[in-house]
Amino acid sequence: MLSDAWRIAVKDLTIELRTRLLLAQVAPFSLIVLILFGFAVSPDLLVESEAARSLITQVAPGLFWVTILFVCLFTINRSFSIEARNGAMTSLKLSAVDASAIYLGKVLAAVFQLFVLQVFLGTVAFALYRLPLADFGMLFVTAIAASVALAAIGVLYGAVSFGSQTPETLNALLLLPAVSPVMLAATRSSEIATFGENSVAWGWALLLIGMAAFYISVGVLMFESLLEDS
Amino acid sequence: MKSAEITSTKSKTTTVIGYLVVAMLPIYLAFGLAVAEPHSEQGESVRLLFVHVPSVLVTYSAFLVVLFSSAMYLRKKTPYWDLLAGASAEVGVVFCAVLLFSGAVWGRPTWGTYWEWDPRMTSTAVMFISYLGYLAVRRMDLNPTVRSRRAAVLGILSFVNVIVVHYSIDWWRSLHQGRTFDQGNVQIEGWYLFSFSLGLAVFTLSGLWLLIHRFRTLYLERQLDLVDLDSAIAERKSEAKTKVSP
Repeated sequence: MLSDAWRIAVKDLTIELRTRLLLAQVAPFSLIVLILFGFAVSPDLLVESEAARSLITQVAPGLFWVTILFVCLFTINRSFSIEARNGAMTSLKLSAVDASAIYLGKVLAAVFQLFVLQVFLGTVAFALYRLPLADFGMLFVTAIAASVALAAIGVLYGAVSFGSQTPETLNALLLLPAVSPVMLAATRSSEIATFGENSVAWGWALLLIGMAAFYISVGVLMFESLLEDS
Repeated sequence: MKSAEITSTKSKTTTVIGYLVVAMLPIYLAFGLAVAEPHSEQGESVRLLFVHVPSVLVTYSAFLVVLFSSAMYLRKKTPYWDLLAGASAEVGVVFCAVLLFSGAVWGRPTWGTYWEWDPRMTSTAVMFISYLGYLAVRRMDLNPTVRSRRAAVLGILSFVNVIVVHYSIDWWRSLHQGRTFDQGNVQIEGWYLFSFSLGLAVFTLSGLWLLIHRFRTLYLERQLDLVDLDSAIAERKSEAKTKVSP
Protein backbone atom coordinates (compact mmCIF):
# COMPACT_ATOMS: atom_id res chain seq x y z
CA MET A 1 0.00 0.00 0.00
CA LEU A 2 2.78 2.42 0.94
CA SER A 3 4.63 1.86 -2.35
CA ASP A 4 1.38 2.64 -4.23
CA ALA A 5 0.91 5.74 -2.11
CA TRP A 6 4.44 6.82 -2.94
CA ARG A 7 3.74 6.34 -6.68
CA ILE A 8 0.57 8.45 -6.46
CA ALA A 9 2.50 11.18 -4.62
CA VAL A 10 5.28 11.11 -7.22
CA LYS A 11 2.66 11.31 -10.00
CA ASP A 12 1.02 14.39 -8.43
CA LEU A 13 4.37 16.06 -7.78
CA THR A 14 5.57 15.30 -11.33
CA ILE A 15 2.46 16.97 -12.74
CA GLU A 16 3.15 19.91 -10.43
CA LEU A 17 6.77 20.11 -11.59
CA ARG A 18 5.68 20.09 -15.22
CA THR A 19 2.95 22.69 -14.87
CA ARG A 20 4.68 24.76 -12.13
CA LEU A 21 1.35 26.08 -10.84
CA LEU A 22 2.74 26.28 -7.30
CA LEU A 23 5.75 28.32 -8.34
CA ALA A 24 4.13 30.47 -11.00
CA GLN A 25 0.77 31.24 -9.39
CA VAL A 26 0.27 30.09 -5.80
CA ALA A 27 3.59 31.42 -4.40
CA PRO A 28 3.19 34.93 -5.89
CA PHE A 29 -0.47 34.95 -4.82
CA SER A 30 0.40 34.09 -1.22
CA LEU A 31 3.14 36.71 -1.26
CA ILE A 32 0.75 39.47 -2.26
CA VAL A 33 -1.70 38.29 0.42
CA LEU A 34 1.02 38.69 3.08
CA ILE A 35 1.79 42.20 1.79
CA LEU A 36 -1.89 43.19 1.61
CA PHE A 37 -2.45 41.95 5.17
CA GLY A 38 0.22 44.45 6.21
CA PHE A 39 -1.75 47.28 4.61
CA ALA A 40 -5.08 46.00 5.93
CA VAL A 41 -3.94 45.63 9.54
CA SER A 42 -2.17 48.94 9.62
CA PRO A 43 -1.85 51.42 6.75
CA ASP A 44 0.57 53.39 9.00
CA LEU A 45 3.27 50.82 8.19
CA LEU A 46 4.09 52.93 5.14
CA VAL A 47 5.09 55.87 7.34
CA GLU A 48 7.22 53.72 9.72
CA SER A 49 4.93 54.01 12.74
CA GLU A 50 6.26 52.07 15.77
CA ALA A 51 2.73 51.30 16.99
CA ALA A 52 1.86 49.85 13.59
CA ARG A 53 5.03 47.75 13.62
CA SER A 54 4.14 46.40 17.04
CA LEU A 55 0.59 45.55 15.94
CA ILE A 56 1.63 43.72 12.78
CA THR A 57 4.24 41.76 14.74
CA GLN A 58 1.64 40.63 17.27
CA VAL A 59 -0.87 39.42 14.68
CA ALA A 60 1.70 38.06 12.21
CA PRO A 61 1.33 34.34 13.16
CA GLY A 62 -2.43 34.51 12.55
CA LEU A 63 -2.00 36.31 9.24
CA PHE A 64 0.59 33.75 8.18
CA TRP A 65 -1.75 30.82 8.88
CA VAL A 66 -4.70 32.48 7.12
CA THR A 67 -2.43 32.78 4.07
CA ILE A 68 -1.49 29.12 4.42
CA LEU A 69 -5.22 28.24 4.49
CA PHE A 70 -5.64 29.95 1.11
CA VAL A 71 -2.61 28.04 -0.15
CA CYS A 72 -4.12 24.81 1.20
CA LEU A 73 -7.35 25.48 -0.71
CA PHE A 74 -5.41 25.98 -3.96
CA THR A 75 -3.30 22.89 -3.34
CA ILE A 76 -6.31 20.66 -2.65
CA ASN A 77 -8.32 22.04 -5.56
CA ARG A 78 -5.34 21.39 -7.79
CA SER A 79 -4.88 17.88 -6.38
CA PHE A 80 -8.38 16.95 -7.57
CA SER A 81 -8.66 19.11 -10.70
CA ILE A 82 -5.82 17.09 -12.26
CA GLU A 83 -7.96 13.98 -11.79
CA ALA A 84 -11.06 15.58 -13.30
CA ARG A 85 -9.71 15.81 -16.85
CA ASN A 86 -9.80 12.96 -19.39
CA GLY A 87 -11.37 10.60 -16.86
CA ALA A 88 -8.14 10.44 -14.86
CA MET A 89 -9.96 9.56 -11.65
CA THR A 90 -11.71 6.63 -13.35
CA SER A 91 -8.34 5.40 -14.63
CA LEU A 92 -6.91 5.74 -11.15
CA LYS A 93 -9.72 3.65 -9.69
CA LEU A 94 -9.44 1.06 -12.48
CA SER A 95 -5.72 0.70 -11.78
CA ALA A 96 -6.69 -1.48 -8.80
CA VAL A 97 -4.77 0.72 -6.39
CA ASP A 98 -6.23 0.61 -2.90
CA ALA A 99 -8.35 3.69 -2.06
CA SER A 100 -6.34 4.26 1.12
CA ALA A 101 -3.13 4.29 -0.98
CA ILE A 102 -4.66 6.94 -3.24
CA TYR A 103 -5.58 8.94 -0.15
CA LEU A 104 -2.15 8.63 1.45
CA GLY A 105 -0.42 9.43 -1.84
CA LYS A 106 -2.44 12.58 -2.36
CA VAL A 107 -1.86 13.60 1.26
CA LEU A 108 1.87 13.05 0.88
CA ALA A 109 2.04 15.21 -2.26
CA ALA A 110 -0.05 17.94 -0.60
CA VAL A 111 2.13 17.84 2.56
CA PHE A 112 5.27 18.33 0.46
CA GLN A 113 3.76 21.28 -1.42
CA LEU A 114 2.36 22.89 1.72
CA PHE A 115 5.65 22.49 3.58
CA VAL A 116 7.67 24.02 0.72
CA LEU A 117 5.31 26.99 0.60
CA GLN A 118 5.41 27.35 4.39
CA VAL A 119 9.20 27.54 4.32
CA PHE A 120 9.06 30.16 1.56
CA LEU A 121 6.25 32.22 3.12
CA GLY A 122 7.63 31.82 6.65
CA THR A 123 10.97 33.25 5.57
CA VAL A 124 9.22 36.16 3.86
CA ALA A 125 6.93 36.74 6.86
CA PHE A 126 9.88 36.87 9.28
CA ALA A 127 11.51 39.52 7.08
CA LEU A 128 8.35 41.50 6.27
CA TYR A 129 6.93 41.59 9.79
CA ARG A 130 10.34 41.73 11.56
CA LEU A 131 9.58 38.78 13.80
CA PRO A 132 11.84 37.32 16.50
CA LEU A 133 12.43 33.54 16.68
CA ALA A 134 12.43 31.97 20.14
CA ASP A 135 12.22 28.24 19.36
CA PHE A 136 13.12 26.97 15.88
CA GLY A 137 12.44 23.34 16.84
CA MET A 138 8.86 24.07 17.84
CA LEU A 139 8.29 26.11 14.69
CA PHE A 140 9.59 23.23 12.55
CA VAL A 141 7.38 20.65 14.30
CA THR A 142 4.39 23.01 14.00
CA ALA A 143 4.98 23.44 10.27
CA ILE A 144 5.25 19.69 9.66
CA ALA A 145 2.29 18.72 11.88
CA ALA A 146 0.07 21.50 10.49
CA SER A 147 0.96 20.51 6.91
CA VAL A 148 -0.01 16.89 7.59
CA ALA A 149 -3.24 17.89 9.37
CA LEU A 150 -4.24 20.38 6.65
CA ALA A 151 -3.44 17.90 3.87
CA ALA A 152 -5.23 15.03 5.64
CA ILE A 153 -8.41 17.07 6.10
CA GLY A 154 -8.08 18.78 2.73
CA VAL A 155 -7.82 15.59 0.66
CA LEU A 156 -10.77 14.08 2.53
CA TYR A 157 -13.00 17.10 1.90
CA GLY A 158 -11.60 17.57 -1.62
CA ALA A 159 -12.89 14.08 -2.46
CA VAL A 160 -16.32 15.03 -1.08
CA SER A 161 -16.60 18.01 -3.45
CA PHE A 162 -14.97 16.22 -6.41
CA GLY A 163 -17.24 16.14 -9.46
CA SER A 164 -19.33 19.07 -8.26
CA GLN A 165 -20.04 21.83 -10.79
CA THR A 166 -18.37 24.36 -8.47
CA PRO A 167 -15.74 22.33 -6.56
CA GLU A 168 -13.66 25.41 -5.65
CA THR A 169 -16.39 27.21 -3.72
CA LEU A 170 -17.84 24.04 -2.22
CA ASN A 171 -14.40 22.92 -1.10
CA ALA A 172 -13.80 26.28 0.56
CA LEU A 173 -17.15 26.07 2.38
CA LEU A 174 -16.40 22.55 3.62
CA LEU A 175 -12.71 22.87 4.31
CA LEU A 176 -12.44 26.17 6.18
CA PRO A 177 -14.72 25.21 9.11
CA ALA A 178 -13.06 21.78 9.28
CA VAL A 179 -9.53 23.17 9.48
CA SER A 180 -10.36 25.95 11.93
CA PRO A 181 -9.08 23.92 14.96
CA VAL A 182 -5.84 23.27 13.03
CA MET A 183 -5.48 26.96 12.30
CA LEU A 184 -6.10 27.84 15.95
CA ALA A 185 -3.53 25.35 17.21
CA ALA A 186 -0.99 26.26 14.52
CA THR A 187 -1.34 29.98 15.25
CA ARG A 188 -0.92 29.53 19.00
CA SER A 189 2.00 27.16 18.56
CA SER A 190 3.69 29.57 16.11
CA GLU A 191 3.16 32.45 18.53
CA ILE A 192 4.92 30.50 21.26
CA ALA A 193 7.74 29.48 18.90
CA THR A 194 8.11 33.07 17.72
CA PHE A 195 7.73 35.11 20.91
CA GLY A 196 8.70 32.49 23.47
CA GLU A 197 6.56 33.20 26.51
CA ASN A 198 3.87 30.65 27.38
CA SER A 199 3.34 28.07 30.05
CA VAL A 200 1.73 25.39 27.86
CA ALA A 201 4.70 25.43 25.44
CA TRP A 202 4.42 22.19 23.41
CA GLY A 203 0.72 21.63 24.15
CA TRP A 204 -0.55 23.20 20.92
CA ALA A 205 2.08 21.43 18.81
CA LEU A 206 1.05 18.11 20.36
CA LEU A 207 -2.60 18.91 19.66
CA LEU A 208 -1.66 19.47 16.00
CA ILE A 209 0.09 16.08 15.90
CA GLY A 210 -3.02 14.49 17.45
CA MET A 211 -5.32 16.10 14.87
CA ALA A 212 -3.01 15.01 12.03
CA ALA A 213 -3.03 11.40 13.30
CA PHE A 214 -6.83 11.43 13.79
CA TYR A 215 -7.64 12.71 10.31
CA ILE A 216 -5.10 10.42 8.60
CA SER A 217 -6.80 7.44 10.31
CA VAL A 218 -10.29 8.67 9.36
CA GLY A 219 -9.16 9.30 5.78
CA VAL A 220 -7.64 5.83 5.41
CA LEU A 221 -10.86 4.28 6.71
CA MET A 222 -13.36 6.40 4.78
CA PHE A 223 -11.73 7.35 1.49
CA GLU A 224 -13.03 4.25 -0.27
CA SER A 225 -16.64 5.34 0.37
CA LEU A 226 -15.88 8.69 -1.26
CA LEU A 227 -14.35 7.16 -4.38
CA GLU A 228 -17.09 4.66 -5.23
CA ASP A 229 -19.08 5.59 -8.33
CA SER A 230 -22.40 3.89 -7.64
CA MET B 1 -38.19 1.51 7.95
CA LYS B 2 -41.55 1.00 6.21
CA SER B 3 -42.47 3.95 4.04
CA ALA B 4 -44.35 2.58 1.06
CA GLU B 5 -47.62 3.97 2.42
CA ILE B 6 -46.40 7.60 2.47
CA THR B 7 -48.59 9.71 0.20
CA SER B 8 -48.50 13.10 1.93
CA THR B 9 -46.30 14.99 4.39
CA LYS B 10 -49.03 14.72 7.04
CA SER B 11 -49.35 11.70 9.33
CA LYS B 12 -51.26 10.75 12.47
CA THR B 13 -48.10 11.18 14.53
CA THR B 14 -47.44 14.69 13.25
CA THR B 15 -51.07 15.65 13.82
CA VAL B 16 -50.86 14.54 17.47
CA ILE B 17 -47.49 16.26 17.92
CA GLY B 18 -48.82 19.43 16.26
CA TYR B 19 -51.84 19.59 18.58
CA LEU B 20 -49.62 18.95 21.59
CA VAL B 21 -47.33 21.85 20.64
CA VAL B 22 -50.30 24.17 20.05
CA ALA B 23 -51.72 23.19 23.46
CA MET B 24 -48.42 23.62 25.31
CA LEU B 25 -47.33 26.84 23.64
CA PRO B 26 -49.62 29.26 25.59
CA ILE B 27 -48.68 27.59 28.91
CA TYR B 28 -45.00 27.78 27.99
CA LEU B 29 -45.30 31.47 27.08
CA ALA B 30 -47.31 32.26 30.25
CA PHE B 31 -44.80 30.57 32.55
CA GLY B 32 -41.75 31.75 30.63
CA LEU B 33 -42.83 35.37 30.30
CA ALA B 34 -44.95 35.93 33.43
CA VAL B 35 -44.89 33.29 36.18
CA ALA B 36 -41.11 32.82 36.35
CA GLU B 37 -39.83 35.89 38.18
CA PRO B 38 -36.89 38.02 37.01
CA HIS B 39 -33.55 36.68 38.19
CA SER B 40 -31.70 38.50 41.01
CA GLU B 41 -28.61 39.04 38.83
CA GLN B 42 -29.71 38.61 35.23
CA GLY B 43 -33.15 40.26 35.55
CA GLU B 44 -35.61 39.74 32.70
CA SER B 45 -32.94 38.40 30.38
CA VAL B 46 -32.96 35.09 32.29
CA ARG B 47 -36.10 34.21 30.27
CA LEU B 48 -33.85 33.58 27.29
CA LEU B 49 -32.79 30.43 29.16
CA PHE B 50 -36.15 28.90 28.19
CA VAL B 51 -35.34 29.38 24.49
CA HIS B 52 -31.56 29.12 24.35
CA VAL B 53 -30.90 25.88 26.23
CA PRO B 54 -33.78 23.89 24.61
CA SER B 55 -32.49 24.98 21.19
CA VAL B 56 -29.04 23.66 22.19
CA LEU B 57 -30.46 20.28 23.09
CA VAL B 58 -32.56 20.01 19.90
CA THR B 59 -29.56 21.08 17.80
CA TYR B 60 -27.31 18.45 19.42
CA SER B 61 -30.01 15.78 19.06
CA ALA B 62 -30.61 16.62 15.40
CA PHE B 63 -26.89 16.42 14.60
CA LEU B 64 -26.66 13.17 16.57
CA VAL B 65 -29.42 11.77 14.33
CA VAL B 66 -27.37 12.92 11.31
CA LEU B 67 -24.37 11.01 12.66
CA PHE B 68 -26.36 7.84 13.37
CA SER B 69 -28.32 7.94 10.10
CA SER B 70 -25.14 8.58 8.09
CA ALA B 71 -23.41 5.60 9.72
CA MET B 72 -26.50 3.46 9.09
CA TYR B 73 -26.62 4.58 5.46
CA LEU B 74 -23.01 3.55 4.90
CA ARG B 75 -23.78 0.21 6.53
CA LYS B 76 -27.22 -0.61 5.08
CA LYS B 77 -27.19 1.49 1.87
CA THR B 78 -30.95 2.07 2.18
CA PRO B 79 -32.03 5.55 0.97
CA TYR B 80 -34.30 6.15 3.96
CA TRP B 81 -31.33 6.59 6.29
CA ASP B 82 -29.94 9.15 3.87
CA LEU B 83 -33.27 11.02 3.77
CA LEU B 84 -33.45 10.96 7.57
CA ALA B 85 -29.92 12.38 7.82
CA GLY B 86 -30.80 15.15 5.35
CA ALA B 87 -34.05 16.03 7.12
CA SER B 88 -32.36 16.03 10.52
CA ALA B 89 -29.50 18.23 9.32
CA GLU B 90 -31.99 20.82 8.08
CA VAL B 91 -33.82 20.81 11.42
CA GLY B 92 -30.48 21.03 13.26
CA VAL B 93 -29.37 24.01 11.18
CA VAL B 94 -32.65 25.86 11.87
CA PHE B 95 -32.36 25.30 15.63
CA CYS B 96 -28.65 26.15 15.54
CA ALA B 97 -29.61 29.50 13.97
CA VAL B 98 -32.10 30.04 16.81
CA LEU B 99 -29.36 29.07 19.27
CA LEU B 100 -26.87 31.57 17.83
CA PHE B 101 -29.45 34.34 17.65
CA SER B 102 -30.76 33.80 21.20
CA GLY B 103 -27.16 33.56 22.46
CA ALA B 104 -26.28 36.89 20.85
CA VAL B 105 -29.42 38.55 22.26
CA TRP B 106 -28.62 37.12 25.74
CA GLY B 107 -25.00 38.22 25.42
CA ARG B 108 -25.95 41.89 25.06
CA PRO B 109 -27.35 42.40 28.63
CA THR B 110 -25.04 39.78 30.22
CA TRP B 111 -21.67 40.54 28.63
CA GLY B 112 -22.47 43.97 27.15
CA THR B 113 -22.02 42.78 23.56
CA TYR B 114 -23.92 40.73 20.97
CA TRP B 115 -20.81 38.83 19.99
CA GLU B 116 -17.83 37.85 22.12
CA TRP B 117 -14.90 35.81 20.80
CA ASP B 118 -15.81 33.17 23.30
CA PRO B 119 -14.79 29.55 22.52
CA ARG B 120 -18.34 28.24 22.72
CA MET B 121 -19.89 31.02 20.61
CA THR B 122 -17.16 30.81 18.01
CA SER B 123 -17.19 27.02 17.82
CA THR B 124 -21.00 27.07 17.54
CA ALA B 125 -20.76 29.47 14.59
CA VAL B 126 -18.18 27.16 12.97
CA MET B 127 -20.48 24.17 13.58
CA PHE B 128 -23.39 26.06 11.99
CA ILE B 129 -21.34 26.83 8.86
CA SER B 130 -20.01 23.27 8.63
CA TYR B 131 -23.57 21.89 8.57
CA LEU B 132 -24.50 24.48 5.92
CA GLY B 133 -21.64 22.90 3.95
CA TYR B 134 -23.20 19.49 4.58
CA LEU B 135 -26.50 20.74 3.17
CA ALA B 136 -24.63 22.17 0.15
CA VAL B 137 -23.14 18.72 -0.51
CA ARG B 138 -26.64 17.25 -0.45
CA ARG B 139 -27.54 19.59 -3.33
CA MET B 140 -24.58 18.57 -5.48
CA ASP B 141 -25.45 17.68 -9.05
CA LEU B 142 -24.20 14.09 -8.91
CA ASN B 143 -25.48 10.55 -9.15
CA PRO B 144 -27.89 10.32 -6.15
CA THR B 145 -26.11 7.27 -4.71
CA VAL B 146 -22.69 8.90 -4.93
CA ARG B 147 -24.06 12.09 -3.44
CA SER B 148 -25.72 10.21 -0.58
CA ARG B 149 -22.51 8.33 0.21
CA ARG B 150 -20.42 11.48 0.28
CA ALA B 151 -23.05 13.22 2.40
CA ALA B 152 -22.95 10.27 4.81
CA VAL B 153 -19.17 10.52 5.21
CA LEU B 154 -19.51 14.26 5.76
CA GLY B 155 -22.37 13.71 8.21
CA ILE B 156 -20.02 11.59 10.32
CA LEU B 157 -17.06 13.97 10.01
CA SER B 158 -19.15 17.05 10.85
CA PHE B 159 -20.06 15.61 14.25
CA VAL B 160 -16.52 16.44 15.40
CA ASN B 161 -17.78 20.05 15.54
CA VAL B 162 -20.53 19.10 18.00
CA ILE B 163 -17.96 17.50 20.31
CA VAL B 164 -15.76 20.61 20.08
CA VAL B 165 -18.73 22.88 20.91
CA HIS B 166 -19.82 20.75 23.85
CA TYR B 167 -16.39 20.53 25.47
CA SER B 168 -15.18 24.01 24.47
CA ILE B 169 -16.04 25.43 27.91
CA ASP B 170 -13.83 22.74 29.52
CA TRP B 171 -10.96 22.96 27.03
CA TRP B 172 -10.65 26.77 26.92
CA ARG B 173 -11.22 29.58 29.34
CA SER B 174 -14.70 30.79 28.49
CA LEU B 175 -17.07 33.62 29.39
CA HIS B 176 -19.92 31.20 28.76
CA GLN B 177 -21.62 29.83 31.85
CA GLY B 178 -21.26 26.13 32.71
CA ARG B 179 -23.73 23.50 31.57
CA THR B 180 -27.30 23.84 32.84
CA PHE B 181 -27.34 20.06 33.24
CA ASP B 182 -23.95 18.85 34.34
CA GLN B 183 -23.78 15.06 34.80
CA GLY B 184 -27.30 14.92 36.22
CA ASN B 185 -26.70 17.91 38.50
CA VAL B 186 -29.44 20.42 37.61
CA GLN B 187 -28.36 24.04 38.09
CA ILE B 188 -31.88 25.56 38.09
CA GLU B 189 -34.97 24.99 40.25
CA GLY B 190 -38.57 26.08 40.97
CA TRP B 191 -40.54 27.88 38.24
CA TYR B 192 -37.34 28.26 36.24
CA LEU B 193 -37.01 24.49 36.04
CA PHE B 194 -40.71 24.07 35.20
CA SER B 195 -40.67 26.77 32.47
CA PHE B 196 -37.43 25.36 31.12
CA SER B 197 -38.92 21.84 31.01
CA LEU B 198 -41.94 23.19 29.14
CA GLY B 199 -39.62 24.95 26.72
CA LEU B 200 -37.66 21.76 26.25
CA ALA B 201 -40.87 19.81 25.51
CA VAL B 202 -42.15 22.46 23.05
CA PHE B 203 -38.81 22.70 21.24
CA THR B 204 -38.31 18.93 21.11
CA LEU B 205 -41.82 18.26 19.81
CA SER B 206 -41.50 21.10 17.27
CA GLY B 207 -38.18 19.65 16.11
CA LEU B 208 -39.72 16.19 15.83
CA TRP B 209 -42.71 17.59 13.92
CA LEU B 210 -40.39 19.35 11.48
CA LEU B 211 -38.18 16.27 11.15
CA ILE B 212 -41.07 13.93 10.28
CA HIS B 213 -42.59 16.40 7.83
CA ARG B 214 -39.27 17.08 6.18
CA PHE B 215 -38.44 13.37 5.97
CA ARG B 216 -41.77 12.68 4.28
CA THR B 217 -41.28 15.61 1.88
CA LEU B 218 -37.84 14.32 0.90
CA TYR B 219 -39.28 10.81 0.49
CA LEU B 220 -42.06 12.10 -1.79
CA GLU B 221 -39.52 14.14 -3.81
CA ARG B 222 -37.47 11.00 -4.28
CA GLN B 223 -40.55 9.03 -5.37
CA LEU B 224 -41.37 11.76 -7.86
CA ASP B 225 -37.85 11.58 -9.30
CA LEU B 226 -38.18 7.81 -9.66
CA VAL B 227 -41.60 8.13 -11.34
CA ASP B 228 -40.18 10.75 -13.73
CA LEU B 229 -37.27 8.48 -14.52
CA ASP B 230 -39.51 5.44 -15.08
CA SER B 231 -41.88 7.36 -17.34
CA ALA B 232 -38.94 8.82 -19.33
CA ILE B 233 -37.52 5.31 -19.85
CA ALA B 234 -40.96 4.00 -20.90
CA GLU B 235 -41.36 6.91 -23.32
CA ARG B 236 -37.95 6.29 -24.94
CA LYS B 237 -38.76 2.57 -25.25
CA SER B 238 -42.07 3.26 -26.95
CA GLU B 239 -40.34 5.75 -29.30
CA ALA B 240 -37.79 3.10 -30.22
CA LYS B 241 -40.52 0.54 -30.93
CA THR B 242 -42.40 3.01 -33.12
CA LYS B 243 -39.27 3.75 -35.18
CA VAL B 244 -38.34 0.07 -35.61
CA SER B 245 -41.80 -1.11 -36.65
CA PRO B 246 -42.50 -0.62 -40.44
